[in-house]
Amino acid sequence: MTVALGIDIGGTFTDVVLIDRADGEICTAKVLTTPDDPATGVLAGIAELLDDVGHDPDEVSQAVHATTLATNLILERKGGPVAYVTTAGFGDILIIGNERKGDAEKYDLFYTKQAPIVPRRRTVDVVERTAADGSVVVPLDIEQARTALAELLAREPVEAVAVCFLHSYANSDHERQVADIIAELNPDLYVAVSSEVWPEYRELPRACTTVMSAYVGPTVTRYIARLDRELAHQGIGARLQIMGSSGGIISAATVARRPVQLVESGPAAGVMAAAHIGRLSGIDNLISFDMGGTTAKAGLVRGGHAAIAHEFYVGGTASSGVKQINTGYPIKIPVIDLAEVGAGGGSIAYLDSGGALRVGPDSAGAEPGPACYGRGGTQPTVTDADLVLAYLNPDFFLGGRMAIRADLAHGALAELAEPMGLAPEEAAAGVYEVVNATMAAAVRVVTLERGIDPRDFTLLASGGAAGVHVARLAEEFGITEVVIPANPGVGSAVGLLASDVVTDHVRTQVIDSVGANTDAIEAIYAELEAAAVAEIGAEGFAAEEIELEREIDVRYRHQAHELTVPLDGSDLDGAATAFGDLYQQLYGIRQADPVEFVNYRVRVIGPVPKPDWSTDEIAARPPAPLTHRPAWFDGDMADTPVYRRHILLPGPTIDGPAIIEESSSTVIVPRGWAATVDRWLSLVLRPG
Amino acid sequence: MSSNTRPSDPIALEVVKNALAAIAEEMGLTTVRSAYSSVVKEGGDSTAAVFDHRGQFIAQSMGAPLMHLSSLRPSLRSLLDDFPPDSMADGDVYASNDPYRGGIHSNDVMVFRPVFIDNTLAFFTCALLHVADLGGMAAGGLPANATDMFQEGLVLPPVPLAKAGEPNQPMLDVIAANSRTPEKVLGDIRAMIAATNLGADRLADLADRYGLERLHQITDELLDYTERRTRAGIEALADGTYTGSFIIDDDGVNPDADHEVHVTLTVGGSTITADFEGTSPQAPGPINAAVSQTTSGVLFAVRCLLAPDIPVNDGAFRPLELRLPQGTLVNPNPPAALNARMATVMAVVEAMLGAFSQLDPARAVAASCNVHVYIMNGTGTDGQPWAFMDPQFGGSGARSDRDGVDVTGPLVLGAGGAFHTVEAYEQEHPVRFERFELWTDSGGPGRWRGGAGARRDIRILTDGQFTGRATDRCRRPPPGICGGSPGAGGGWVLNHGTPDEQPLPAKITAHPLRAGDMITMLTSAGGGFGDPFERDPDLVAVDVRDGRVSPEAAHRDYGVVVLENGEVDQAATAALRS
Repeated sequence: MTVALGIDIGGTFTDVVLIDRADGEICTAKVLTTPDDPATGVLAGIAELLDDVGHDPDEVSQAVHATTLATNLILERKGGPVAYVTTAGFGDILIIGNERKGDAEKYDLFYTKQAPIVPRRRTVDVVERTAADGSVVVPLDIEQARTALAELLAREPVEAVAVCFLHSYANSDHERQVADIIAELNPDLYVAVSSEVWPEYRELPRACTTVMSAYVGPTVTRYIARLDRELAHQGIGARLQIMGSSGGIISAATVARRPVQLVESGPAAGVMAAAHIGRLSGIDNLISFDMGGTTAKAGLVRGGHAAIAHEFYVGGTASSGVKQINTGYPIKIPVIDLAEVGAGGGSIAYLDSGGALRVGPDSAGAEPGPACYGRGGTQPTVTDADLVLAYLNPDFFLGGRMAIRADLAHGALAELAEPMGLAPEEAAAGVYEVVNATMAAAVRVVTLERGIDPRDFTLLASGGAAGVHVARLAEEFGITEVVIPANPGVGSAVGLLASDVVTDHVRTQVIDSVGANTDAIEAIYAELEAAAVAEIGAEGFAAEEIELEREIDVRYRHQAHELTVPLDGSDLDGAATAFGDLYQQLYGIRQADPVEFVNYRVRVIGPVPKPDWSTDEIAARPPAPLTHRPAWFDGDMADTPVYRRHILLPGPTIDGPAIIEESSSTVIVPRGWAATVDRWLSLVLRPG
Repeated sequence: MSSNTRPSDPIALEVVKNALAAIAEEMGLTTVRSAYSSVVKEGGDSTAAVFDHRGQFIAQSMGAPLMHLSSLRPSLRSLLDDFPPDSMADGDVYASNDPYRGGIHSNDVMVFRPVFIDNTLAFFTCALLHVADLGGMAAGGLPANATDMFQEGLVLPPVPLAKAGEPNQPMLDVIAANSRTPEKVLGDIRAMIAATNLGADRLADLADRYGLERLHQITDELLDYTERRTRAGIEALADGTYTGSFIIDDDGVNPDADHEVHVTLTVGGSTITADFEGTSPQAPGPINAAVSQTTSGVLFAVRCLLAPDIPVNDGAFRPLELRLPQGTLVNPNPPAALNARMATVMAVVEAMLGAFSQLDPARAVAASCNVHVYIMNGTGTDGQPWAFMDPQFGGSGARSDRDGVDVTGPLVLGAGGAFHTVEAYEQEHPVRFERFELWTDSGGPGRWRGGAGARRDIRILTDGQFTGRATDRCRRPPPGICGGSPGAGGGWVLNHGTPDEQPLPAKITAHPLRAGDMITMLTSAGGGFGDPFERDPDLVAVDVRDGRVSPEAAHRDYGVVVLENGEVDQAATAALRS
């Protein structure tokens, strides 16, 4: 008998989830995160869980971890000192960046670029040059490189070196030779080489991806090695695996080579949990919606697979916790496609100087928190509004473990309402409506702005506050099915145990479709697949259980934006047609130009057994409401039935308006909606 | 006008504001991504916007440049003059680009679609993008030596592209017949039509939710709300009259002629009046700015003083009064050429910021770069013609409390598109970049240093041509302020550092190149702020260590001696500075 462990370290809580592989039973533990040494909290959580369920450490067959460590190192600028080695004449690329400002800074006379992660004095210009076709224009000057590197390493206390030469994706010889020189000079340095990290063309994102790998690499690899050792020390046999940004599980060895893959580890786990819960319930197309304290995030699952983007930005300027598009460093690796907006439970509502009701992006955070927390916060937040509308129960917040005060929320909303000439409840209803509209932007980005009709999708909510807002959000888009999984508080950790082991590889070569050499393209894929299969084989997967997926980036000859489409074997015509279809979906028109192929992508998957916690219990009729309370529905406070979620079983239907409470969240069923429970104890809301 | 009232429904106002912005954004994405024009794809040189049934501008795509928005407003009004609303039908699509009827210059083509809801003209959806080629004397439509608008390409007064859903094929044929790249131009126009169609669908959904009458009430309130916040921001400024001016160094025809933009700003209560009396007569070359473009420069400068979250819509224009003398750079008479109007628009911005610095010295800023554009073209070994166009940026001016910014687009452009990398250019065209880095010693010395310009060395690998349009600030580099020195002036140099070295004029069209020739491209750098001898020597040492300033310039310009180890020689510095 074996069990699998999922470990999700968040800012406040560390969630540990344990799944019994034999019967699918899930147990969870929530312990406080120990920020100075996260491993301590993790180990405490694991010990507690194993003890609870009576399993021995040596029964753990899989241990998967999601961590915000890499993200925090970048956001807080706490990575190690990095040296950057590049082609002579191009040493300022990281400083120049993309020559663009964020939209929010357009009129800012005091705008300043962020200081680069690598200052110019830690950059080495090396005499060498490779052309776009991989031919060498200027041979590598080995002596110049060695001398310049030795001088820099003697002068600057660096922990890691990033190497990125122009066109190294087409010919990596010079990069590899320089990596060898660095290893000779100091074998202890962490070295990230662009042609190994992510050999895709366009030097700025490739350089940033490489530099960020070097920036977080030493700290991340040390941390994972230590946690792995500690787990072994506890008698856990399984080797630690990590949730990667693309929603695939990656090995510690892969992390060491491409640590930037950890940047979206936590959010990826959340979307993978949504994808899995959808698969169990037979829902292939869903939008994951996560509402936190400061931000709301939306992701997309189509055909059971989480949507992937191939570029994202890290370390940019943030406006009240929300990253701005086009600021920071472009990173080119596969990543779960997530949209984020600055609206959450802690978002502050206010009237601006023109008299409009605004919500966020400023947040009351955890301290002082919403006014109702009674910790000194006086500004009305979304949580306060939800409480004034009586959607939240002051006696059952976090299952009654935290006291919140309706009178303080009421006072804060009354102050907001007064200049509008509204009652506090009406102002609260306005806050509710405005924050829903703001959060809708996240859903819009991953659907309508990608040419996808959200009405064909189910909205799956996670995060404690989401259940209060999700049905209204669905109405905004004409979505007719909403799912709130059981135990939404530890949803991400479930995602860790519902994901496959994955490795991604890429190569760039621009090939025109007219007269394309099919054999050459096939050879590229064969080479990529061999490397990927070897990598995943090291994780213990036999050749016959491995799944291979090919993708290809295609664009019209005169255009610069390529799109990624699946490639069936070597059917390039089929890929060109799929590209035309996707192009039409995204942009509404199909063009007649010939296409060219740009990037070749391989994903190799090692399948992992997935948890299933279905129940056969069924209830004949709905339970009686626990109680009734006046709550805001249809423009007034109306007496509304209140149910406790944990006693609900599959079968009966509860018609809205209704309130369904559990310890970590509340679900609002508006009028015109009805709630049922499915076999996996998810609440399913449909217009009824 | 209702500037002292509150909105009747502060909640619906906010919700509709967000919904309109989302519609415009979706339209904008459709335009950018389906456009053929490389300037649009790489530079984001396109805009989508929504206007109400009366032609009032209510929402725009994110990152839309003010230059475009300021042009769509008068162009739509001009369209309605020729085609009154009661002559329009569902399924109509119109286009225009006439710079003397609200447009910018020939290549900036606008598409308008009236949106009918319940058989009522309810909105207009609009798109504008810089199309690849619309004829004129130079491929790409940017002749730096043009002397009238007819040399700049086909002029479109408001014309129907479709009536009641039926394409106006003869008109489309005229447009195609006047372009060197007819397929690209029609593709660009199709992209804009697709965007306006999508916007029409989304607006119908929104009207469904609120009812059209109610929706129009809310959009009216949105404009009043914007006006109210803009006026409140202006009221916070000190009343008074302030002046500013900026001199442009080259009009493309007379390289040595000076052209001055002069503004007298009057801040009174909640209104700003910008009077351009004293501005030079219109230039023989193409630096003249159509009224829409001058307006955008004024609004840009004003918005630098206001809260950044005030929406941009018709309400933002209401508190501004412009006096633009006829026949000058800022309001030329036809048929003056206008394709290089960025010189005048940015001079308007600098003159305005100069006037504002009298109002509030803390906001004083030295002059910045202007955009430089070049086109390289030739014929490849496969016999196929190739060409690319690349907008370049330099450094921005130093501020009263901080340095300028290195190599970043002047803000008024609002460019937000993808950045085209060296590897992408070399994949697509027979060129090789040999350098792309900060230009050492370019940033204007000062207590606060101007942002550095960039240096690019590009070698052409086949025979070809070079067209350069260094818009401004070459012969006359960006001035410093409050005792700061000017930044370096930009320019082009052929075969730099060889016996054949030859500086090229700032504005040059179709200069022949031989395979192996190299063009060095220098973008201008920001002016400095304050006396450079008052700059913190440690900051000078950092600049030297980072290669922004040479040890020689540290000595000469800043009076700072930086040692081999990168540290300041305190004694020698004190001696130099005494």
